[in-house]
Amino acid sequence: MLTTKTIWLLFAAYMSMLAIIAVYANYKEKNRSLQSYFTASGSIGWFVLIMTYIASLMSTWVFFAGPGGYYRGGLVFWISELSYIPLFPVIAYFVMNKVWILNSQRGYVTPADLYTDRFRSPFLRLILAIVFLSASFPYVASILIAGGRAAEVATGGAISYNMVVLVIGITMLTFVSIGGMKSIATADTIQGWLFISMLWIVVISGLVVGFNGSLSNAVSSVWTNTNSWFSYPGPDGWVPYAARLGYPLSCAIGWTIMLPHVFVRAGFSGSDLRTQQKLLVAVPLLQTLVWTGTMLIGLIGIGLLPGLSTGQTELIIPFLIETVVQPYGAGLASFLMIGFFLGAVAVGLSTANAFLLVSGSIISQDFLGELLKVNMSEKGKMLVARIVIVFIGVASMILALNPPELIWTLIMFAIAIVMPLFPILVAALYWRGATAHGAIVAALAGTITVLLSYFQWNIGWKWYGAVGMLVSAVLMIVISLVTKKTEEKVLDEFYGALKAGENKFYVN
Amino acid sequence: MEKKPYQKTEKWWLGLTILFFALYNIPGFPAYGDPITAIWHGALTVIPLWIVIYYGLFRLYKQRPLRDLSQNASNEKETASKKEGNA
Repeated sequence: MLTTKTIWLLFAAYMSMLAIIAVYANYKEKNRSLQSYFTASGSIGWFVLIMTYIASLMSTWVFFAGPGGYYRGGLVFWISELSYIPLFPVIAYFVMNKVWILNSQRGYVTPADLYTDRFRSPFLRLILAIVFLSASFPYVASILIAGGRAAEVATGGAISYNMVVLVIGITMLTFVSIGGMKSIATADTIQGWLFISMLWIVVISGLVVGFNGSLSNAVSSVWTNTNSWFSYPGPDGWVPYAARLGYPLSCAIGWTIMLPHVFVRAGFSGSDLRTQQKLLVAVPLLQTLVWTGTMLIGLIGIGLLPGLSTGQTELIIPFLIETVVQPYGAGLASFLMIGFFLGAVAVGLSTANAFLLVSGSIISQDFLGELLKVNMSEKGKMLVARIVIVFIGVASMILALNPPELIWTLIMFAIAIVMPLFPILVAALYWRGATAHGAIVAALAGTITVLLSYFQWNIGWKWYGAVGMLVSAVLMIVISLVTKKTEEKVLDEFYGALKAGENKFYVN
Repeated sequence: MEKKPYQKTEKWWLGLTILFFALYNIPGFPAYGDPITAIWHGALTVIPLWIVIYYGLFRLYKQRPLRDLSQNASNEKETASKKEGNA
């Protein structure tokens, strides 16, 4: 459909835009600290914060796994999305606003900094760093895979998948290592609006071409031909009762709070608490805008192209363009394919950049700085962080060159693996009785349970990380009750900082 | 110590959120293959969930206002400059 030359030209134009942003950000903040490079040191205003949060959160789900998920899961899958989307303000109000206040008093760089500040355990830091990093590799790889597939499909297989993966990977590495958090946030604002616009252009075009512009025609057609799309467990049996609970829990906690790149955005990067307040209001609305568009693509897809295999459903957008839009108008089809490619790259790169940056901070700060106590100047740390980013990016590229069938599996595993860390965070913020031993056992047992859920018990596909989180919560309480309490001095320092911050920012 | 109004709001806000999320997740309901009940069930649990969460959130913002730190900063500057003037 698109020529190889068109794809490379689009890519070059897009990457030039990113390069300009990165170089400008680097020039503007010549003497920035490591904390500023990784977290923007609480200096991002509300509009950019909301967009960088949304863009880094969304990833390749939007153009691949999401429409495929709605195709297989149906309307009830959308309802389960709507059940967790509004939980973000509640969880963020009780948890991430406190994280933000603590960060403003204590100056954290990585998520593990907060846990260690409360529990004072280097071993816990090590576990957290490994868990957060293990979520990063599959996520970044999933984005490279999606970019490669998008280009491959958009050109009808004329372009080399491996070449696209390598080029996207190298571009992303260059951008992140030069730019840092501020340039990523700025680029995310542009990329966020770009992918949302492209998504809705695809939706509207699909409705116009396939159903004469009428949503009710699309609904009637699917109601008549694939009625199971509207009921549990969905047309492919993909949304049973267990998944209806396990999936929203995983998304509400693992995906929107605990993945390290969004943790940093929701907890460290905002300029003040008013910015946090706006983030809490806007995120569910923007998420709904995106997922409703994605759901409609699933609806249009199953209405026009029923009977696709599981792997094919993740490519429903290019299939629709090729088989439905192309006969209607070649110009529109080419335009939509460009939109699909650019949208997928935009939403993917915004997430990959965010993940790479936070992974760099985990290795340079948690491993080298705090665990191995490597003494380096600020410049030396920045250099190491950049080298680490390149290393992680290359490892993800290698994984992407030999991809699994479903991008979905990679993403959901990454989300599940961080879920057991949530009860420890809540205990750290609210319970003076929580101990380091409790946190260590909870983190280890919870993570092992998630691994067993996926690789031994085969329940990961419906419970995701929920069972691991439950195990972590129970052990956090039980072990804390029977082990030695944290020193009062440490507790007073931690909770004193939280109290002082609350007094500083709130009137009452 | 008497609870502040926002603390009461936090409690019912969290409680109602959990209630509607639990109602959405009643095991075994709606029956598999029943689209009409699935749509009604979704509407009657998820829409109230959204209403409760946004209503509670804005109520909390009202009950627990933030300090105007920019005002404080400019007052501090003013005081500092007055002190300098006195000196």
